[in-house]
Amino acid sequence: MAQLHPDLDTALTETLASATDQTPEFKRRLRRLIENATKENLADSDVQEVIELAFVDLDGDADEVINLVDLL
Amino acid sequence: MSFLLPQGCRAFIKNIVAPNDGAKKFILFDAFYCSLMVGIDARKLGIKEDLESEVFLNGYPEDYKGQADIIAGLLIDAELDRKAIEPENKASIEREMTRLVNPTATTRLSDTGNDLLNLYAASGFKLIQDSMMAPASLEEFLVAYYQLWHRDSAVAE
Amino acid sequence: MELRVLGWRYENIRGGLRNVEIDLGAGTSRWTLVQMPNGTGKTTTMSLFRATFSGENLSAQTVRDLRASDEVKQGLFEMRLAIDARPYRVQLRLNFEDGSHTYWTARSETRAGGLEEGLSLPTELRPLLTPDFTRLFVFDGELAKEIRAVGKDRAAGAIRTLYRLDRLDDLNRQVRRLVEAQQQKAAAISSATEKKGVTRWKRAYDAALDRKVALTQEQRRLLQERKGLDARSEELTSLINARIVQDGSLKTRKDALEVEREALDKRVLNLIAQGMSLLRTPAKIHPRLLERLRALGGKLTELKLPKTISAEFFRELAEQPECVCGRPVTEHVKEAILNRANIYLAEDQVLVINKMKLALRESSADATEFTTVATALNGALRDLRTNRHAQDQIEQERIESGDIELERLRKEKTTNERSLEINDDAFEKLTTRDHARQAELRADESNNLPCCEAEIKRCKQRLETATDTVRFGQQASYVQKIVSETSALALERLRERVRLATNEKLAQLVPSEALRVARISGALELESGRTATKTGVSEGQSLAVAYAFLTSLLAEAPTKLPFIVDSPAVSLDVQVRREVGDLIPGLFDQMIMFVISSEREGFADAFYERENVKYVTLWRTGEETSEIHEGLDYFKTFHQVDAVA
Repeated sequence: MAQLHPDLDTALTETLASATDQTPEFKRRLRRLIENATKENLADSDVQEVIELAFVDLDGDADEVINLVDLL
Repeated sequence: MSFLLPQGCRAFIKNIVAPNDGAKKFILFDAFYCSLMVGIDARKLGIKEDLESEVFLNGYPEDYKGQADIIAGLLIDAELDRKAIEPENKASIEREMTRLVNPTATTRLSDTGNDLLNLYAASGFKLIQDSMMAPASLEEFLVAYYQLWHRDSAVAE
Repeated sequence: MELRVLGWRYENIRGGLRNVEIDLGAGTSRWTLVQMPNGTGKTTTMSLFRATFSGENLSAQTVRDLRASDEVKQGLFEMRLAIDARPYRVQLRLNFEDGSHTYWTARSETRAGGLEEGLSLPTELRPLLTPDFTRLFVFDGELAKEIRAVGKDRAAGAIRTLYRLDRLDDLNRQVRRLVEAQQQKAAAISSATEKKGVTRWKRAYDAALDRKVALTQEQRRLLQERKGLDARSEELTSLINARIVQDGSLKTRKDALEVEREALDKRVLNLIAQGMSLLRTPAKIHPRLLERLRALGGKLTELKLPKTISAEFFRELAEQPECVCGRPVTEHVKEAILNRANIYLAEDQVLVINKMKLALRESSADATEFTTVATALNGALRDLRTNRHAQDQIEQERIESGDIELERLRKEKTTNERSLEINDDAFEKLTTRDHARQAELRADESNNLPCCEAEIKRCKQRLETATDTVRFGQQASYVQKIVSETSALALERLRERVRLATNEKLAQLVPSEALRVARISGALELESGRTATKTGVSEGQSLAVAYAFLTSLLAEAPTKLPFIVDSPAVSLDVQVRREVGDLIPGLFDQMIMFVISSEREGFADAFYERENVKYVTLWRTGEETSEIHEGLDYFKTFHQVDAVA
């Protein structure tokens, strides 16, 4: 089971704690990604997937754009 | 078989291809076919540049499927004539047929045969344009087309 | 992961290490004390350890310097290791003649433990097995000063490596690479690789949508207009008729003409249908075509084409031992036959041509049919013209008799018809999907609905690509941010942890001195009470600090490494020796200490009470020979002087 050194673990927990607009899934996947990174146990696709889970706000236009894309 | 319409054909027939009018059933392929017949008859090949670049139809439409063998035969006949292949030269005729015939194609024609058909249509359409103005109605076209073929024997006015 | 040393051996190494093997045993003792007098190769051994762990590139001079004597051509240093209990053998092979060297590894998994060239230790260990890092656990006394040297990143660097924070840097680099790949992919589709692209395509998309609305409105307008025009046309016709029928005789004529016209229209439709059907039969277009078809059919039959002998016949013949004529079919003959086969039609081609012949023979036709229809059609058209003319005539008569209203109506009808034509043209330009037609009419996305829709689709695609790229880029940046923040935060914590642990140990090792680590930036920075950073540190103090730091660093690391040290206590004063002897060993799962006899007192003796300790004594017996003894008693009592010089 991938385990992080306690200090790394705490650092990650603290950092994620302030990421209030991210989903639990993103946080969970990112944690595992970092664990795997310390063991050199990851593929590009893993990284890609986690990136795509992140929530970002494209400066307000995002909502509009997202809605537009939905409509089409 | 990938059919290519001669350039300008669409504009020429715009009044006689009326999609909403059920009675008039003149389709794009009819225009191609009419051009083809004229070109083959004249034993004249057109050039690629006079054809549209995109295929408008693959394979014969329903109304023409029964004519595939005939059209193939006419093509062979035209080519033999155009290239002045001796009627007694069995080997040459056989070679020509091998070149033009593809048994597995619905059109019975090889790619070479396919290309030739399009080129004959190109020249045929030019001849049609020379002989008549863009028809205002299908009936007008039929009469004019008939007259193109039967120039020598004028239709009684 | 855990790395342990199980033993090592030398072949033809200088310092009397011609043929020496040290075996720490399977149930490896936790602590190994190797007593080696000065000049017996302690330094050499440490160098060899470091080199072999890290696969270090040695200079030819270094290699030759290891030569035991002039006669020997080759030398060897081999370590036996256990990595997570799996055995490994690592060799450094030395060629004294040309100064070259190679590394070899035997792993338990590979082909019955055979040696493979190269250093193949587990990937996880590799960042730790660099020449720089090995100096931390195969402790190099020089390092003691270096870790305090500001400007070098030894201390923080060691923390990053050992606790794998460098892997997080790798992760961020991977993220960067993915973004670049994504952007390159997007660039191939569109040129929108920045936020600018999003704005641009969004604008284009919005504009296209607006245009569609406008064009749709125009379409509605045209249809509406057309309805109106048609209605008006009908209206006008009735109005015109109404005016005409006011005159009884004109009405009669008009009605008759109407009836005639209806009949003619019907006839025309009928003749068109017949004509089309004839048209689509080549043989019926002109007798000439029929003649040609028949001639071709006849010719083929006459020439006996297709031959009843087809290509298949030849191909099969080629496979037979004997030809139909009885001659044997040799390779040469076979080739000739196959060549001929290509000239003849294949079987299925024959089939097609036979079908064609049949169709040609059977093409019947009466080319006169087409003539009949064409003539009839022509006649009908003429009649319609006449009819039309007659109807106009009636209207004309009416106008001439003073019906101004009728004239006006007729004029309006003409105008209306013209408007209808214009409407038709406009509608075609607006709605045609025919590419060739679009080109002819100069229809594009600004005035043609299908083109506009295509443009909308295109902009949408570009927009999606652009936003995806921008979004992905921002998502990636965010992830990098989190990873960097985590890494920085973790480093802070680790530095503090190691600092505190180091100070804890220093407090034990040198309680009387205010020797404490103030900060671990790049280097280990010492404090000294309230005065400026202590620079004048004795060798003993320096060592103490180094031990305190290293043990703090290595003790809790994810990878357990052995701590190998040369003369650990020599430079320490007695008190510190004692503390080091008491404190340090407990912090490692494996320690190998090379000591000299003078370190027995105050340092080594701290071990005598412990269990799990191995004692090895190695000394030189001659120019090129050494002797080795295991055991505590020998260790305790060994005196160099006793050994033959």
